[in-house]
Amino acid sequence: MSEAAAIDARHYRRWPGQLRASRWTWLAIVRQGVRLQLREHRKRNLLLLSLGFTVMIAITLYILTALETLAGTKEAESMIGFIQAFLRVDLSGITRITELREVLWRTLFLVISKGQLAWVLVVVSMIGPGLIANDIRSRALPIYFSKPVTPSTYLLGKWIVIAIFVGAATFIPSVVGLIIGVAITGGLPTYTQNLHLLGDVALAGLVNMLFAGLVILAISSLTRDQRYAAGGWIALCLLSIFAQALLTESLPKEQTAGWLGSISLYRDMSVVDERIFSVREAWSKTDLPEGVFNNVLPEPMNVMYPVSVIAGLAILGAIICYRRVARFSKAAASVQ
Amino acid sequence: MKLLQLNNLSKWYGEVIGLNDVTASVSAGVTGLVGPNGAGKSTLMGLAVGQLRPSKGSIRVFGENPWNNPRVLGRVGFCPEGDPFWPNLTGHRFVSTLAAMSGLGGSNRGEAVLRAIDRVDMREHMNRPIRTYSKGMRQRIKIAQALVHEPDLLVLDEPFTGTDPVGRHELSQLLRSLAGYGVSILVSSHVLHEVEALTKQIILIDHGRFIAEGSVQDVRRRMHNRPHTIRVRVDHPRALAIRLAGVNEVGGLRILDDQTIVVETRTPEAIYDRLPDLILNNHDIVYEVAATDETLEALFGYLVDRSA
Amino acid sequence: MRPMLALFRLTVRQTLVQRQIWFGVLLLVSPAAITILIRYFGSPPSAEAQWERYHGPAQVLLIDIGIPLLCMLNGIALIASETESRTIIYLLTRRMRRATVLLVRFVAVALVLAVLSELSMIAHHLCATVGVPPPATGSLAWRPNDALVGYLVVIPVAVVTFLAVFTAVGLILTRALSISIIYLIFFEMGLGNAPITGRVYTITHQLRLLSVDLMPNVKRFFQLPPAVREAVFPAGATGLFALTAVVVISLLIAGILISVRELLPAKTPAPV
Repeated sequence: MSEAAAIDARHYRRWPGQLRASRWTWLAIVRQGVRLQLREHRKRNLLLLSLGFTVMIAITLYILTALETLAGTKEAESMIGFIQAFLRVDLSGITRITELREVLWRTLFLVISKGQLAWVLVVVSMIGPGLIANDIRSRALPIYFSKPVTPSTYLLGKWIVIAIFVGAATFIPSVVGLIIGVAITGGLPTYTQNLHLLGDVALAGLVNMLFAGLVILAISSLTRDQRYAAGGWIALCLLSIFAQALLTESLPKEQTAGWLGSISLYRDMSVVDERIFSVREAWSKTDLPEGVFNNVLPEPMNVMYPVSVIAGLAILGAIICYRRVARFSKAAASVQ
Repeated sequence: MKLLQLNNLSKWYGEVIGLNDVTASVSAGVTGLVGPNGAGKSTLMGLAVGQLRPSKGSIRVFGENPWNNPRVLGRVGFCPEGDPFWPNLTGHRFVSTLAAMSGLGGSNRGEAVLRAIDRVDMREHMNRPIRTYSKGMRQRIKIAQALVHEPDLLVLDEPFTGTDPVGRHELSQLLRSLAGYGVSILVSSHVLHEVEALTKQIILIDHGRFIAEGSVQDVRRRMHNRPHTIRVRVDHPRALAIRLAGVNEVGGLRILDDQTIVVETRTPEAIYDRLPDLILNNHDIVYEVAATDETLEALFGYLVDRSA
Repeated sequence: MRPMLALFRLTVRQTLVQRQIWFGVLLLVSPAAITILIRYFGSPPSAEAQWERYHGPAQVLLIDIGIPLLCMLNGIALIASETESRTIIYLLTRRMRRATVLLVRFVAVALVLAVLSELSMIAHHLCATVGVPPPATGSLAWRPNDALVGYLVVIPVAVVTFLAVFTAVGLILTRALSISIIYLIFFEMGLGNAPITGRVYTITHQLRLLSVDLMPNVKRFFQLPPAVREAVFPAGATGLFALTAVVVISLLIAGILISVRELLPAKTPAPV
C-alpha cells in the first residue's frame, strides 16, 4: 500500500479547495470574536440600550420641527423648556427657528455624542478587556500564531471586534436617529440640508473606534486578567476627568487652556466632536447673542492639544499592543 | 469502618449527569478508579474531598460528611487533576504553605516538608519557582503537597498524567510503599494498565455508574467471556486464513481487504503463540499484528452492553 | 490558628507579588501627582483654596475613585481568582471551614489595600504641606495634621466597606465585573455625588459624612450652623453605623454563599 493510500484509509484528506490568503485571516478572528461577545445576553442588551440614543434624537428632532411652526405661541413654552434642559440652548423669545434648523441639528448631535462618550466608557469596559487578556490567559496566542496569522492581522481582527461594538453603540444609533428624524420632519429638503451630518457622525464614530479600540487593546494586552484591564480603562477615563476638574479649579485659566487642560479624555473628545460638528462656527454665523448657546459648547481651546493627546494615546496603544502580541508571535515561531 | 460509603449517590450538573444513583463502599487499601474521560471519576473524587455536594443521596468519608468538615479534610490528602498552581511560589514554599494550612507547625513542619519532597524526588528542584517546572515535576510536587501532612486517605486524580515511564514506575513504587504504611489510596486513571500495576482492587466507572468492582482478574475474566479480535496485515491473507481455519482456538475469520485479516478468538494468547509459525511457514511479510478490542473503550463497551 | 496564619501570609504575598499591583500603585500615586502639578503651576492659594487643594485630591481621587476601583478588582477576585486558577482546591481541602478561608483572605487583602492607600494619603499630605506656610489662625483656619488623621481613619473604613461589598458581589454573581462597573459608575460615582436625597444610600456619601464627623476642622471651615449641617448631612452621625452595617451584611452573605456553594469549576461529563 502506498503511503498516500494509507493516509487516505485513515480518512486523512488534503483540503481540496483553495486556501484563503493569509491577509484575510482577520475575518475569522472577527467572526469568532463577535459571536463570542453576542453569546452573552448582557452584552446583547447593552447594544439594545444604545438605541436609546436613537429615540432621543428622533424625539428632539420632532420637537425642533414642531417648534419651527409653533415658536412664539403658548404651546411652544414647554418645548422650549425641554430644548433648554436637553440641548442647553436658550430659544425663549426666538421665532426664526427654521433658520436655525441646521445649527440646532448640529448641536443636537454634539450633545448626543457627549452622552455617547460616557456610554462608550461602559461598552468598552465590558467588551474590550478580555479581547487579548483572555487569549493570554488561556494560552491561545501560540495557537493563533501557529496558523498563518501575523500580529498585525490578529490585532486588526481584535480591533474590528471592538470597533463593531463601539460603532453599534454610537454610530448606528445616531444614523438611525437621523434617518427617522428626517423621515418624520420634512423629507428631501431637510435631508439635503443635513446630509453632511451623516459624514460628521461617521467621523466622530471613527475617532471613538480608533481611540477607544486601540487603548483598550493595549491595556488588555498588558494583563492576563480581564478584570484589571477593565479597571485600567475605567481608571484612565475617570481619573483623567476628575484630575482635570481639580486642576481647572485650582489653576488659572491661561494654564488650563493648554496641555494642562487636555488631561481629561472626555473633554478632549468633546472638543474634537465640537470641531467635527462645527457647532461653535455654526452658532457664530448666526446673529444670536452668545448667552443663547454658550452652555452647550466646551471651553474654547486650541484643538491641537486634545487632538495630540488622543492621537498620541492611540498611537502609543497601537505600539504597546503590537509589541506585546509580537512577543507571543516570536515565542510561537521559536517552538515550531 | 468503611473508608468511603456512598448511598444512592447522584450528582448532576444541570442536565448532565456526573454520578448516577451509586450505592457502594470502598474499603481501606489502594483502590483504582478506572473509566474513560467523562465517566464520573473526578466527580466522585470531588465529592470525596468535600468540593462537590451530592444532588441526591449521601457520601461518608471516615463515617462523616466531608463537605465543609475540617475534621475529615485534615485526614485527607488530595492531588487534583490539571495544573492548579501559584506559579510564583517555589516548590518548597508551595508544599510548606499547604503543610501549615493543614496545621503542621514548628520544626516538625520543615521536616515533614522535606520528607514529602524527598518522597517525590524533588529535593534538587525545590527552590525553583513552580512556573519553571516541567509537567512531570509539577505532578510530583502536587503529590508532595497531598502527602505532606501524612493523611489517612490519599485521593489522587489522574496522578500519572504527564509523567514519563520512569516517573510512572517511581510513582507506582511510592504509592505502594505508602500503602505499606497503612495509607489508604483512591487513585483514578483512564489507562487500565497504570492502575493494574498499582492495585488489584479496581472500580470501573462509566456514565456515572459503577459497572464493575473487584480485583483486576475478576474484570479480566468477564472480558474473556467475549471473543477477542486480532487484526493481522500480511502479504497473502487468504493463504494465512486457510491455515488459521485449522486452529481449534479460532472462532471466526474475516478478510477485510487484500492485506488484512481479522481473527476472532476466546483465547487470544493461544493465537499469539501459533501466529509466528503459521506466518513463517508461508514466508509471508507481516505489516501488523494488533488486538483491536483490548482497549479500555472495548472493555467498557462490552460491560455496558454497547458495541465496542 | 496556624492554618489561618499560613493562608494570611499566602494571600498577602499573592496580592503583593502579582504584576497587577502596579496598577494599584499607579492609581494611588495620582493624588500626590496632581497636588505636585497644582503646586508647581498654581499661584499661592487663599486659605479656602489651600483647604480645597488638600481635600480635593484626597477625597475625589483617593476615596471616591482609587479605593473603590481597587476594592472592586480585588473584591470580586477574592475567591474568583482562586477558582479560575483552580487553586481554590488547595485552600478548601485543608483544616479550615470555608467561611474562615473567606474571612482570612478578606482580612489579608483589606490590610494590603489599606496600607497602600494610607501610604498614598501620607505621600499626598507631604506633597501638599511640606514647605507651605501653615494656614493663618482665625475662623477659617484648618490644621493639615488634623485632616491627615481624619483621612487616615476614613481610608481603612472605605477599604473594608467597599471590599466587603465587592466580595459579596463576586460570590453572588458569576459575571460580577460588568455589574460592579455599572454599580460603581452610576450608583457610587453618579448618585453618590448627585445633590439628591437618594445619595444617602451610597457608600461614597456615607464616607463623606464620616469625614465630616471625624474632622472637626472641616465643620469649622465650612462654618455650618448645626441646623444647616443637619440639613446638608441629614444622617451625620450615622455614617459609621451605616458603613458597619454594610460590612457585616456583605460579609454575612459572602460567608453563607461560600459555605453552601460549590466552587470547583465542573468539567462537563458526557451527556447520558
